[in-house]
Amino acid sequence: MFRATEEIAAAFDEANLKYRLEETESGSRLGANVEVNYTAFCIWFISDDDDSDVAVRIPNFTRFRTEAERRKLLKPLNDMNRKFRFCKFVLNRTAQSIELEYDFPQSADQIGQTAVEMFHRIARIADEAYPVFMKALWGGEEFFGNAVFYEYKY
Amino acid sequence: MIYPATEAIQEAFLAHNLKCVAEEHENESLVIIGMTGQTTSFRVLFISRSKESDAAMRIYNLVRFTSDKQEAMIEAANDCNARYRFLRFTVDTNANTVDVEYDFPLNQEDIGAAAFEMLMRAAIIIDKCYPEFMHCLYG
Repeated sequence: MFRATEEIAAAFDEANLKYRLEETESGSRLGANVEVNYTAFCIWFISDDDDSDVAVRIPNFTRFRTEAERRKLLKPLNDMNRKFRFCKFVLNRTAQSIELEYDFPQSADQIGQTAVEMFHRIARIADEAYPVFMKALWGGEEFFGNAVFYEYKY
Repeated sequence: MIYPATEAIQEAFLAHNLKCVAEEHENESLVIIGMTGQTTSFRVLFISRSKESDAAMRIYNLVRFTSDKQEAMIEAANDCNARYRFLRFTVDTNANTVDVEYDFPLNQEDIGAAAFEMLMRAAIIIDKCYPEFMHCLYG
């Protein structure tokens, strides 16, 4: 378990935030589940060494299936990147999903407290951004297709 | 006023023998430094708007393009965002430019060291990404 992960866990304990710890082959990570107005997700704080190199990731924040859906998400993704500070929205073609990312500088100090602050910030940003992506995916006219409604007489 | 983060960043850059300028504006103070890489040159701004070591690194107008290239540039920006950590490439769809951004965590004790680290990272990453944008425009 790397030092940064332990420090973040201690800060989460102090802030009464629930989390889970995982050790992988390459590093250690802390995951905390978040429920916001429109969705739920897990924020991961990932450390690959004993410096303060911590990567914050929300994988699979929004999923898409087709190339057409991918193209619909690009402009809103850019708009969200311009609107919000700190985290960046990345469209992962391989995973067919949008991910949120933030990377602490390696020279970051007080990583525990900063991680708690970033946890709250990213949760608020994700809450605002999620409806924007949903509207981009589902809000177009083509969603209703060519449905035809008949009036039945019994 | 010159905010504490601006002073700390300027001190750190001067300690590394980097030429930079500090500017004071009504609601913010900033450190400006010019960088020249293998593929392009650009200005990096470290902007502070409060006493809480709140610093934002911004590189504006890294690439300029015409409206018809907007979608391609958004794709290229996303590819760079996916490939490289730390920096956030965004497309300003009003000005038709690519900007680069990084926001430091608040209340960093050594914001100067963090700013120097991020400046070095930006130089390397932008050197690698700039040709991608150029290929989009002219390839």
